[in-house]
Amino acid sequence: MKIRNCGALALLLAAGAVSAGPGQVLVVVKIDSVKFQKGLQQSAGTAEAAIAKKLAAQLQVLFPPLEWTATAPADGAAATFSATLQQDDFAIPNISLHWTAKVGESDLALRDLHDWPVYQVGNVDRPYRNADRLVGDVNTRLTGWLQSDAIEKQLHDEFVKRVPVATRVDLDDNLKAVLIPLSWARAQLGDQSEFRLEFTRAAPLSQIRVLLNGVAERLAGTAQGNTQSIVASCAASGVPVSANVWSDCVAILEQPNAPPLLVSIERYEFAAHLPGVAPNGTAVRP
Amino acid sequence: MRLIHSWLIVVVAVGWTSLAKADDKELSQSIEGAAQHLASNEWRKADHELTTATRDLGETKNEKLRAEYLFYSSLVQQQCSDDPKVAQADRQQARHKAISAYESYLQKKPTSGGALNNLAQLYAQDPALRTKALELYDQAVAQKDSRASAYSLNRAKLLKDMGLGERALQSSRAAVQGDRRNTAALSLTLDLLQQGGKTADIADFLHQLNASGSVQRSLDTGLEEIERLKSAREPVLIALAESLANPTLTELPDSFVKSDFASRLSKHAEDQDIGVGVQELLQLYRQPGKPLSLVWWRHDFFGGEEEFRPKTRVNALLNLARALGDRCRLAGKEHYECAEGYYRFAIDFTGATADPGAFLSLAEIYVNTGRQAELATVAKQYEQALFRGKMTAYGRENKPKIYQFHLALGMMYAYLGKWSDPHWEAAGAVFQLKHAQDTAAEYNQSGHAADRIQFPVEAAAFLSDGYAKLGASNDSARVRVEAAEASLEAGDKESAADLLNADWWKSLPATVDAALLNRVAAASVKAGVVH
Repeated sequence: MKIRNCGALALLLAAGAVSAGPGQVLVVVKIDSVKFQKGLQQSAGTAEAAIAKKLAAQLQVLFPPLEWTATAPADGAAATFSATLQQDDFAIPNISLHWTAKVGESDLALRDLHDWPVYQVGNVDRPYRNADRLVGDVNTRLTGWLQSDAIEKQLHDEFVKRVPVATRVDLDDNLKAVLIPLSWARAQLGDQSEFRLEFTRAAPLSQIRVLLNGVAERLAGTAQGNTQSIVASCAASGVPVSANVWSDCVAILEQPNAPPLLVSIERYEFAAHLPGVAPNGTAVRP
Repeated sequence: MRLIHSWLIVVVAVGWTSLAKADDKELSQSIEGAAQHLASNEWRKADHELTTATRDLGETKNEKLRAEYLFYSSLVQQQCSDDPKVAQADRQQARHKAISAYESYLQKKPTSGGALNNLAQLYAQDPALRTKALELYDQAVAQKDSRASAYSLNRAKLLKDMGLGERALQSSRAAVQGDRRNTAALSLTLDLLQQGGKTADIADFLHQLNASGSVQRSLDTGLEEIERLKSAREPVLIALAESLANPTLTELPDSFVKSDFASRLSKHAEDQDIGVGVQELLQLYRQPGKPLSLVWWRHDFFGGEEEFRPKTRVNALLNLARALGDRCRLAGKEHYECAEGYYRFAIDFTGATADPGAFLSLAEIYVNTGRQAELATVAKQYEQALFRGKMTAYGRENKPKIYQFHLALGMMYAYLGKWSDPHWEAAGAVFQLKHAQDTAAEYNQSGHAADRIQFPVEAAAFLSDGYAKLGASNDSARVRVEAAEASLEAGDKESAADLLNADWWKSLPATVDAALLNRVAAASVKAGVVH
């Protein structure tokens, strides 16, 4: 499908989605600490749900291109991010949050994302029987941790980059632009943000990896309001492609029986995009 | 006839109203279209959109739409005046038109932060009108709308251009405080601080970054400043150490030593002002040695607890040592040895007053790894220091701290099986745990519910065991049953069952008070324990 007048736009639908709900991340919290399990009894579930909801909301602010939810989406989520409240075997145990993650059904190794302490030996006052206080304490800890840019970098490198945000793209042949079905207003992408487009090319058989940058809002036509990007580089099974990049690495996706593709974040840079303020600080709304 | 006439009037009136509403709708659409073009800096398209709606504007009675039209017309002129493709004379003319239009708009809407900000931008272009621009920015910021940080940043840039560095800094810092991810404000702040040339101010900024969550930025900026500056960098190195102690960093010491960061820092190990400090800092990461051997970080330190204040060398390094101990401990059993080294370093550093948190962590590691003999050695080594620390806490009537010292001492003696001391009552688990429990109760009576200290069930079990060992069977039973009853009251049957377990029940002597036994029996039934 080509619409030459408004930029030769081609809509590409991947044959058979690689993962359900691209960009959707299910946030799960589990209380595994025996002390808290025993103390909280039935209210443990309520506490888990309350912490998960708050965690999802905080992660949404931190990484808006993904859709963080504490409620399992009907079609399944692209990824799962789990925090388990656990204890060690000290007499007065240290209680910490342990992180695990999955993309689809595959476990992710979170090498740098170590456990986050909630109650340590120096802080022996633990509300084993008070769900409200536990929720309050954990949320306070989470807020503190998630405010840290060091943690933000770990989450970015170890998890966010690996979650597919799209399984289809639109192409603008005239502009040589790749349009990612990601709302520009919601994603809050800074100029330095980059995406990765990956698929397997049949002939010659190779893993194509396209780096997309130059992100901007799609201002008109089909996919208006979504994220527009340009090709920064391409590699075919690790070998840089220097000639015919558009045709060999991108336009082949317009062909019949185009291969399934995945778009993921390569580098996320936040930009506030304050509603109604232009980059030069001029208010564009009263 | 009159009826038909009235009917006609009604029809005409309704028709006119509908027509007016239709015109308003078109006008509204034109304004929205112009707004979208202006958001993309497409002022020509916006101008076209607004010009074609002139007739609708003349006919509307909707004041809100008229005001909006005026705002976007002003913005068209402002963007035109900023467009380098437009002839200079035309740009000047557009600027004057924009100023005049914004002023008219502000007469209608005097609290519009956007209009105040934009008018300030226009005035700021004329050096003679900068004071006026500043007043307008102040008014815009005072509106405290969602764009206040953008107005603050514009104001800071103007103040900088006016040579008012201090005020510019205040304004840019206000913008940073409102949004730690505001990179433009962060860059401007650092730029202003560098211009000011005071390393203490740069260090303050690093503290601010670290405290507000920009840990990585604080570290990167601190290192860059150490590389950029040539002297008087002491406060910057202290701020760097404080940021390295941030609990949200999880990198283990051995991996830090191999990092690019450490490599860059090590290049300053011979510098006159901070060289020794850099060497000692890196040595701490490699292998925590004896804190008394530190020269740079203990400079001007005479061993008093009051000297551990924020932004001091001793405090920064002590916090870093504790943080490294916690990082190693959290990384799992295979890193306990690493944790031990840092906890011992932290305890030794505080000297006379010890550190109950670090000590308890160290004691727990020894117990958990079955090293009773080593626990006995460190207990002997630090016992007096813990007592002195406790006395200091009593002197200051700091109940949470008093509680921590009692608990640390009590758990230490309990782990060692030293329930009492015939020569000195305080040197036993029962005395210390009892006082910890009493201190918690006293504190809880006066404090808020949210701040309550909950005496751990484990400590209650130890206290009960201690009483039993000393032959105080009634006290042993009372402590257990009280803890169990409290657990049951909170719905925690499991903890109550743990406390009233069968082994303990069997060990109870027949001499226990009957009333207590009845309470134990009742609590056991509720906890589901069969004796």
